[in-house]
Amino acid sequence: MKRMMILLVLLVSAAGCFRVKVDPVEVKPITLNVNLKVDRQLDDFFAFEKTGAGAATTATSTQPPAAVK
Amino acid sequence: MTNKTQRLTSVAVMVLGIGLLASIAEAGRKEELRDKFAGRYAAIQELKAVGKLGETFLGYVDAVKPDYLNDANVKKLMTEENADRSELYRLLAKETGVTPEDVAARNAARNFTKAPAGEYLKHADGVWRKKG
Repeated sequence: MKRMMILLVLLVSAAGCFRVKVDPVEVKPITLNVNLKVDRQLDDFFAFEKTGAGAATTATSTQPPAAVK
Repeated sequence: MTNKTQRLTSVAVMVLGIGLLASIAEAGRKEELRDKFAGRYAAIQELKAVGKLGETFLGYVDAVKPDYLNDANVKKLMTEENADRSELYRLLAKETGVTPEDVAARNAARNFTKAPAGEYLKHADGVWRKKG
């Protein structure tokens, strides 16, 4: 029993010496591809907005300062 | 061909057939939705231009002030538009393998970008801001 305890303590101590290196998981390109796919689907679907009446509007900044009361 | 093989083949053909029919039905539904959006487009743009409706960060339209919903036409257009958007987001999510909320968020970003100056946009903090 005593031997087992010593062995266990040694094993636990040794475990601290190991270093496991894990490569970072790269998810950004996948997310980007999915977003592009969704954006393309939306652009295709709403293509009529570019040709439809009253659709010719110019895009500007998306950071407006004035808040509605 | 054994009975078992024939049965398996029949089941496979049926599954493929059902899948094909479902795809055709979804494509048809998208066409219907596009027609509905296109038919409503000018009216929605007009309401946005006068500041009664605006795009939200959730990918839907909303009344800039609650009082505007007292106008039955505004309420009707908004309700119909949002119901169709919800269905469209579900369909596109299924096609692209993302959630409907993801599609809605992409559409919100798209609408914010292409909105002309003067239109109201509801940001994630819940505040309506006029685009400059």
